[in-house]
Amino acid sequence: MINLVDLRLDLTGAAGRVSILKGVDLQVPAGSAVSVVGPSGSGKSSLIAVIAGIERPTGGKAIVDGVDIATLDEDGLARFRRGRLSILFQSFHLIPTLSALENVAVPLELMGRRDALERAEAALAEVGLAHRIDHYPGQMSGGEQQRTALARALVTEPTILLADEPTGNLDRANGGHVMELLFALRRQRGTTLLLVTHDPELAQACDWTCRMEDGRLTAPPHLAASADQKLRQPA
Amino acid sequence: MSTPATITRRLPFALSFALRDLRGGLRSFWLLLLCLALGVAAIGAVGLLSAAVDHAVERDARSLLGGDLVAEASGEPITVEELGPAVPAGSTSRSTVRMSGLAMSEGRGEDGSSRSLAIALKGVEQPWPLLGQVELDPPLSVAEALADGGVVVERTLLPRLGVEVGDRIRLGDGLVTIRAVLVSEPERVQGIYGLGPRVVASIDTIREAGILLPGAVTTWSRAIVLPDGTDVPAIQAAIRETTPGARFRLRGVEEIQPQVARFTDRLASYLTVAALAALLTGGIGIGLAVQGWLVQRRAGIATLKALGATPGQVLLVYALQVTLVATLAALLGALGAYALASLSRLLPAELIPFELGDVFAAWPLLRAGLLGIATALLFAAVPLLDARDLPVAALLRPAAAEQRHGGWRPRLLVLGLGVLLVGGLAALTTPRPEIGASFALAALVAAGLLTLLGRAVLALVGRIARHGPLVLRLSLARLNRPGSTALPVVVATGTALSVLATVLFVQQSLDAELQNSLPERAPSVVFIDIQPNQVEAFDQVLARFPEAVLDQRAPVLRARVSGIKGVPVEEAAIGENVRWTVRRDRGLSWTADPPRDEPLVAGSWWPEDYSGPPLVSVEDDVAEGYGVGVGDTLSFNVLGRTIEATIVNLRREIDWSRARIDFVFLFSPGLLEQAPHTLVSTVRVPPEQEPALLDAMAQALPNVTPISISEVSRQIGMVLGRIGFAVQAVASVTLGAGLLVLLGALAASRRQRRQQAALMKVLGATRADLLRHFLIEHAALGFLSALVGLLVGGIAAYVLVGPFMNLSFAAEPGTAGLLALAAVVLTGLVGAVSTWRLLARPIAPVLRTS
Repeated sequence: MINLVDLRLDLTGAAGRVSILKGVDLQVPAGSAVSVVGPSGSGKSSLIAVIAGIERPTGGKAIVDGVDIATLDEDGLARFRRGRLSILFQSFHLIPTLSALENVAVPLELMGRRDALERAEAALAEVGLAHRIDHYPGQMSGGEQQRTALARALVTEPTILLADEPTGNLDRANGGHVMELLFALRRQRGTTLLLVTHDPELAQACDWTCRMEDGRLTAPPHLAASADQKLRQPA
Repeated sequence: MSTPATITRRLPFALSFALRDLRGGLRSFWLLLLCLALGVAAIGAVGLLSAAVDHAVERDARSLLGGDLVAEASGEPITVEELGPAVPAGSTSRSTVRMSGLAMSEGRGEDGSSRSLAIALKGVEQPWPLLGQVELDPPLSVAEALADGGVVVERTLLPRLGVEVGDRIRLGDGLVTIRAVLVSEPERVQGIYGLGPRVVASIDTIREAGILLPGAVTTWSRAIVLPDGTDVPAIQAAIRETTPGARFRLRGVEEIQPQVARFTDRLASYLTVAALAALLTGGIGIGLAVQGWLVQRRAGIATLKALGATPGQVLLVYALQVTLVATLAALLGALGAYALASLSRLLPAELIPFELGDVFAAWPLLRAGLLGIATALLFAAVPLLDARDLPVAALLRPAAAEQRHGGWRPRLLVLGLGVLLVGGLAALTTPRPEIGASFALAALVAAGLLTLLGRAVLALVGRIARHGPLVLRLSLARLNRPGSTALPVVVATGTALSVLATVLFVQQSLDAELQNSLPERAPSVVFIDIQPNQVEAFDQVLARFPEAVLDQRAPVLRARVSGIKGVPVEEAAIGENVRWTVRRDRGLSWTADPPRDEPLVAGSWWPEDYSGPPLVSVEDDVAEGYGVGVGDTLSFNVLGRTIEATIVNLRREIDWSRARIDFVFLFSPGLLEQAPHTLVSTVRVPPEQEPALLDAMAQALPNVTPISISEVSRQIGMVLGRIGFAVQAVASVTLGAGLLVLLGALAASRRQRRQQAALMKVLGATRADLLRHFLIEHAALGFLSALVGLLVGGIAAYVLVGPFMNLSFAAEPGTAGLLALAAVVLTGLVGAVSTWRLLARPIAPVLRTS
């Protein structure tokens, strides 16, 4: 489902060139939930960014849902994300000028779904926000905003959900509520989840946990095997 | 469900998203709305006024002409019989005559001296006019006013002759009584028939004054009003057919519009160009506004892409929003244009001598609106393409948004296409497209020049400031920092100042030409209508003024070009630039010797004692326009008789700016002198002796009309002054647009200035210190804009005055200084006022959010 082989990412900033990912190997099986923990600045979010096609890898391979994302151009990446891959951000990234309903409907509308609004309404009802559909992000609490973002992430029924510190900006109660919803809905749909978090409890809720430190990933052996090795093993 | 979302659900994604995104309000777009509405209002108002004048001319064409048809000829009245049998029964016609004349007050001074004044004299046959209304003050009927040697005069005549209504003035040999002031009259487009105030008298009164002498320069008209329902063009054609070789020229209402348009189109084009400058200056503000708005929306754009929107969809979503807001601005501008054009009714009748009625017209507003929207998209193109190319990584790393993505090639392509579109629309919006197209080209060059100069002066100031005292370093260094909005401000304000400077410098050069250069090389007075037997008396009067010098003297005869190489002139192909030579009667002259300073470019001069069939010398330019050369023939209608002359040589194009007596057609001697003719003489006389010479000549030869060159200069200067005023008024709108850009730039940098002010306060700066810094920063911005604008405006004016008008460039340094001072004071004030509120802000909240 997600195969990363010797994945590298270098970025050039004001301080010069910095190595963010230093050869990451990871295989996330379809339908499983994998968490990535590690200190700030270790490269967790960058890992998500590369898998989502937001950052281009400097080296190695990232095969996501059977597609080598390095082979896609900007348009190709956009189309690839539609319906197959969703991202849940720490800071929600809702579009402030759109209502909750419209925010959730955007990915469906981009897919050309005529029933976008109905499905968005249903998705909001699933996360308990049926009464807030016409509210704008600025009129909602952080927990409500993240639930809206969750509804937006799942409304297209993606095969992969990437979550980057989804509870990082929420208090414990709200964070817990969002994660309950996330896991319940994921299970219903059989969505593959890659979750980046600081929260050990949250990490434990996943099938497996990996640790990221200084751009290097330590994973359970069957997840860390490179795709090549994995392919060579008998089924 | 009836939420707005359901309303937009059936629309394509990009449009529905654009509409939803706009619901947040138009606050971010105030600069775009104002800049665009201002430009569209200016262009639209000029377009509406121009269309309204066209409409009024079309509506009033008959009364402007004076009849359904008007026959016109020189020298002698046109009789009804001359018009032939095609004039239907039931038609009415009246004769008028137009000529230059001389009016003299009766001795009213203490010494009994009298004043004389050249006038434009019109003789009418009662009842006059056949069409339209004459307004007199006091409100007499025309018949009453003109009876028994009565005349009506233009108001300006009264103070200049020192007379009042009821007084008598001398006209030729006769005395006439001023019965009323002529407030308005129809037949205004029959042409300028003389210099000086208009005087209308009956033809009989003029005859009795003894000034209708043989050969006098007179234009006779016969206006015909046909019975209702007559097919006017058919009658016009029939008259032409039944009067072959007639000495008159027949004009119909269809000639009125083009005749008026020759002047109004040119004026409207200059005004449109000035308004275009305002729109383009505002375009810089539009670019700033769109850029600021899209920077605010970066997170949303990146999120949209993360959710699967393609770059193309992102571009479409935001371009649609710009288009929608621009359309709204264009509508506001159109409303403003209508309001402005409607206000024209408050202008004095001298400036717009037509009853305009309701000025609304859809097409000029639509044109202005489309041009506005295209301009908005042109200036928004680069920020929109930046939004298209914004990487999704900007969500995680804001620095990613600052790097350039997408390359220059698509930007250059889009900009090139945009420039072509806006340039094309600008040309189409200008009544004379060639003026609009030239402006578009010049604007492109000027924009490049302004940007280059702006960059150069800002870099220079930044460099100098680095080594200056703290106050300069803090205030001036900001002008050159990354992300500074100083360059667009310098370019926009510089554009506004360059437009104003161009207009003012051109006007000053024209004034200098009229007031200084022309009088130096031109004669003081041109005397026309001198009868051949009056030459001796004329010379005697002249001899009484030892400092007066006779400059030139030539015989002159009015005639009309009637055929070119045997083809009637109406059917001949004639170049547009020389068409003026066949529109009216022209003065012909004859001479044995070749004229001075006019070298031949083809053929040779006739022998001094030549006395064969008529030969003619033609100005080279006119010959080219007629498509004739040496050996070809031209026909002239001289007092009803057709004379065919062979072209024997071509002379170099006449330089009219020499203000000499020159003739397009010069004949060999022998034939024309037998026809009734007059002489024209030019005289140089010191200015202080000119009035005495004119009075002496008027006493001795009352039929001889003096044309004072200083009077001509004064009248031309007055017309140019009015045109200049109108163009300046529209050009001032550009300054408004420049100030809007400055305000927009200040708004864009508000957050950054707020943070800087807070930090400075932490470091110990007082509010007075901060105000001083901001004042210096903005005054410097104004000074640099003035520097750049005056330089570019000076170059533009120099090019216009020199190569295009063939005049010397004369700009008053005081004007440049005033413009620069105004720029410094205005930008300094705007900067200080906008900064004032920032200074009162507490520090902590600002630092917490930064």
